Amino acid sequence: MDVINDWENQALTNRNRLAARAYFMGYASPELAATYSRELSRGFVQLSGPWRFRLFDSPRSVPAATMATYADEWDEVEVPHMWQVDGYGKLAYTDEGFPFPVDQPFVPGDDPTGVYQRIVTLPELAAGSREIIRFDGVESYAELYVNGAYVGMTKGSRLSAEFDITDFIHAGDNLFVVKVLQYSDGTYIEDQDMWWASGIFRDVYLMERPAARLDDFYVRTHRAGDAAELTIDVKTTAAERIVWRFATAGATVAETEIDPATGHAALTIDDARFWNPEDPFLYDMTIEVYGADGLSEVVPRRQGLAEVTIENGRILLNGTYFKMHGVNRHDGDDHKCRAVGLERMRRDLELMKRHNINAVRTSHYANDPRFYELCDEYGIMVLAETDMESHGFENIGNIATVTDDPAWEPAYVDRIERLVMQERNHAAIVAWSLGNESGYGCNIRAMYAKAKELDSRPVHYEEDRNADTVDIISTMYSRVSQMNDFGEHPGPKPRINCEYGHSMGNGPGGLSEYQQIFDRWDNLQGQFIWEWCDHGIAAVDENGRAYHMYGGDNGDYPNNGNFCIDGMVFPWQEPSPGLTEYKHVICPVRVAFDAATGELTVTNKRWFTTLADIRIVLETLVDGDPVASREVVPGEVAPGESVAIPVTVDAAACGETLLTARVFTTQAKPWCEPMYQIGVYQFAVANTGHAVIEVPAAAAPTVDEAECLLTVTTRDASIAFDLASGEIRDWRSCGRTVVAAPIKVGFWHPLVDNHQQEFDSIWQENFINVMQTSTRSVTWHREGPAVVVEVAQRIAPPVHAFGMRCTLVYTIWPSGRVDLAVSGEPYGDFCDIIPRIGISFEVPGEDRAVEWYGHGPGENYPDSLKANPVGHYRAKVDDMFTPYVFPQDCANREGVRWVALRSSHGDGLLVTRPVGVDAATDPFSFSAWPYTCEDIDAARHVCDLEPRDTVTVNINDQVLGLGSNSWGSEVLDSYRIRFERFSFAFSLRPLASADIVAGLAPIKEV
Amino acid sequence: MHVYETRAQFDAELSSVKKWMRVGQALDIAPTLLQDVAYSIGDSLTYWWDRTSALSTPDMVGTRRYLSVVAPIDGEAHVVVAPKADLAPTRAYSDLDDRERFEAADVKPVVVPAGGILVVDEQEAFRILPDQDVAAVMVRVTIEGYSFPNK
Repeated sequence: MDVINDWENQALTNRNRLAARAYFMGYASPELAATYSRELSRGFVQLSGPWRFRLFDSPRSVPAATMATYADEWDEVEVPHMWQVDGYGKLAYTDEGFPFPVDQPFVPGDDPTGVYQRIVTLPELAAGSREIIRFDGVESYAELYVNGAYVGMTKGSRLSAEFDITDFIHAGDNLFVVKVLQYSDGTYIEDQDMWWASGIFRDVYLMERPAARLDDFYVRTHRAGDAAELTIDVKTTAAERIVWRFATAGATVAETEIDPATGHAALTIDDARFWNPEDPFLYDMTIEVYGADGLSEVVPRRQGLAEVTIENGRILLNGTYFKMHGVNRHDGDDHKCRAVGLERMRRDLELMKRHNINAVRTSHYANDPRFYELCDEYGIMVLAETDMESHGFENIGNIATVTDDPAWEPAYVDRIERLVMQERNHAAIVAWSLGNESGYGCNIRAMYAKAKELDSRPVHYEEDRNADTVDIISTMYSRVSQMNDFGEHPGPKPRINCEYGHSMGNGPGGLSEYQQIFDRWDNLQGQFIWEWCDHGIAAVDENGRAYHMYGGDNGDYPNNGNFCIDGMVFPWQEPSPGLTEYKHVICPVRVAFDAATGELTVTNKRWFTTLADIRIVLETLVDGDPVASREVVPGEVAPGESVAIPVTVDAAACGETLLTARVFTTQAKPWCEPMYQIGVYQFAVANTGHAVIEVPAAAAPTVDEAECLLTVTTRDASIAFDLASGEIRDWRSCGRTVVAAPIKVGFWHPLVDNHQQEFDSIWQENFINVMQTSTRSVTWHREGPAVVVEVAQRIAPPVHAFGMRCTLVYTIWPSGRVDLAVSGEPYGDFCDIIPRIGISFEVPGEDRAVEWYGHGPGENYPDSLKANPVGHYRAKVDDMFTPYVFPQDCANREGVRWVALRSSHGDGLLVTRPVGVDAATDPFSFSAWPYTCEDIDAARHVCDLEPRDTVTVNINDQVLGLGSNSWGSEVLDSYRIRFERFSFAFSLRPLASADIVAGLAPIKEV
Repeated sequence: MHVYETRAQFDAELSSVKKWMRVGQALDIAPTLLQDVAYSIGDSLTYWWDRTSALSTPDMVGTRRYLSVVAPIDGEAHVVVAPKADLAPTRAYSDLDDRERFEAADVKPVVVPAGGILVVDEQEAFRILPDQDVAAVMVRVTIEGYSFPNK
């Protein structure tokens, strides 16, 4: 008869694991309880730290003796950890495909098995006390042995597990052994688009529970006007008296006794201060348990008062409508993988708050219990998802294979029961989520029933497509106009978009349009960016250069490459340009300005609090530089309300006048300093072009036409054109090199992840990335005081019969200025989208100082501009290069009126539109890199890039938007550029000194 | 513009393509769902059903990123369809709703029978007429023809 292994039996969720309960700590006294320090709780023993460890090839390879014999010769590892990150076994990454043959509930016989050992010295346990060991995360299957005896077994990697080890321990040294299997039947429902890694990856610790003790509690809030009507249900052991108290600032505001017989009590807090994400107020709640010998323990809790209901198809928090502007967050640390420490969690939440994010979806599993406490504390609403995803079954044709199989019901229900039981006291949790991408079926309905049995909060599950069962209807990656459809045709249930804005590499673009729709419709109550942080793991190459790993970097196959590098935060926990953009798109203080009436309208898009803390600093800019500023105080504008403030802005008599409004909060918070900027807006005020200055032209350029070279010489400069290619072979001004590589017309830039699908389906087969330039003719003539060189080129891909016939017209003026006009006429049948239309060249490596008037200071693209208002900025080329884990196009600046690349002495090259063209209404784009396009396209990690001696400069007339189609929204129609007829012109002006004013003067040489 | 007189004809020509297969699924399930409530299948399409009197617009509506599909359920629908290039624009295209609007056209309407399916191309605009007050499913399906896995 076949043996049924515990790790291959989906009906068996545990052996001897204690029933799930609220997460709390008990303390010996009120004073200790007031510290909230876990370390000071009764009998707390932190078992995180060094453990002996050995990795075996399979469970069968583990000698039975290792459960009872301490192996001093084994390696020592630092728990929590994931053993693959520490060099045991191999890290592997897939999005959804299982890394082994699908044969549920069976897993490979060579299932990597880690054995942990630790000697723990314990005191004599007090009479009646129980010793509890708690694991907050072990992946994916764990057996516990104490002093050689089997204690129990647990599954559910990201769910806490407790065992009562009282009967297994003694005073003195005790051997704790944990046997962990990488794969189990649970793996089939833990397929969550992340590294395949395993181990004890969250804290493990001991707690002493006294004879008279609290076993569990459940607090509920009901708002009745300004009062909070609270109820509690407790489970206790040997309790003779139980006191339930709420206090703030040391003063009791409400107190009652709980009948030990019923375990139930109620109390009311008048004029209660309810919890909300904008004012996350927490009371100091305590539950005192008295036994026969008096006070036995005090259980403290920072308790927020929150009631979530659905009324008329809308989710309400304490009776108030709200929207969630959120993100999906995986556990992630670039040095520890999912073994995330408290401080990393805290910084995650601080970054969220600093970027106006008010909600998080715990994709796609339960988090460390302290994460929910931090959410209560910081004011982040939680879509609390449990540890469940069976996505890999999609590859065998039915994603719901086990989701709709009643044999798997115990495993599914266990996972939602444990989450809800543990975390249902949290104010921050607005809804439960049953998991992710697992199809729909009977087990979803069973999970829903269990969740509702345990708590009244709404339940979410995206793949209940039409919300037949769950309370919130949800989609992922629905496009902007599709979300508008949902808004125009609302259903009876509230709706969210649980994943959108796929943030893989550079992007996402188009967030502003999404937000306009989310803001427009009341039934749309939340959106969650995919995702918070890149999953890259820090590594060093053979030359000692740092980089971050992704799928395939460990020889893992199959893999999904860099699909896990898809966050708004870099692995090193710094914001990407995408997060900066999101911050401004969701800024809860909206500012509008009517330049005609001089009316500034400030709208409060918060849901619970006024704008009493808000100050708006208005800067008047003329040609990018501030000339005046003033502060505006909107006052106590109520949520949803607006205030109109008259503002006088003096428009410049000459030049472009812009008004920039920077929004600050004056309130210091745990996540921000006072006068922290939460948003920025910009408005056009006036634009009076600079009058053209006509000056007599200097001596006309001389022309020397040799067999292969045409040299045009002005007073200070000379430009040599190759008469075969039409390219500039040498351009010198005042003795210095102006361009280090020829000017070329281009339609390609390094591929960004968010264009990968366009590459796969459009560009690759049409060879758009390897188009060839063929020069048909090079001619020249004089035109007034200038010399004009005309180059006719065909730019086309190999293989196909389409391309662009281009004309480049260089006009060399006596001053040395070169105007370049480019036009293109397509031929053939290709008219699809392309990455850009512009020119590229290189400048000498010393010209690394960049100064521009355009959008900035950060990287921006046509569909991602909100965070970067137009201004006059300076930066270094190397600092402008965004170190995406997978190198790709970056550093673009939009809305550019002019840009200069100069040496530290100020000489270099200035690029503008030609004299007479208003760059404010016809701006351009630029980027500058210390690498070439080919370098970046060829690189797979940042360590593959070697800085060049020159700087690559791209001056683009048009740039394709980013979109988020690494998984989701294609580039919106308004930001699509096509392989169509075009024409543009730039003026290239060598700079001899730091005096940029002369270069910018609109001088017409006559 | 394509008019499929029957569902069988539609399936025979298009049901091997994922997004059109999903259109078929939407047409099957729509009558069982709430009236005037939008649903979706993957990110290929959104759909809802209503009476043509409610689906009707006073002007011509065009789209760029999604094709409009009209499928009457219990009677024939009359729909005016015309090339955008022949129409006078009244509202510029917006990414927010993927719509551009044009003045109503004096063009003979297309008759779509009950059980039939009209697909409006992206170069065209359309207007459902209200006077044949029948139930119809409205589907907006992506124009993307590539094998994007998530569509």
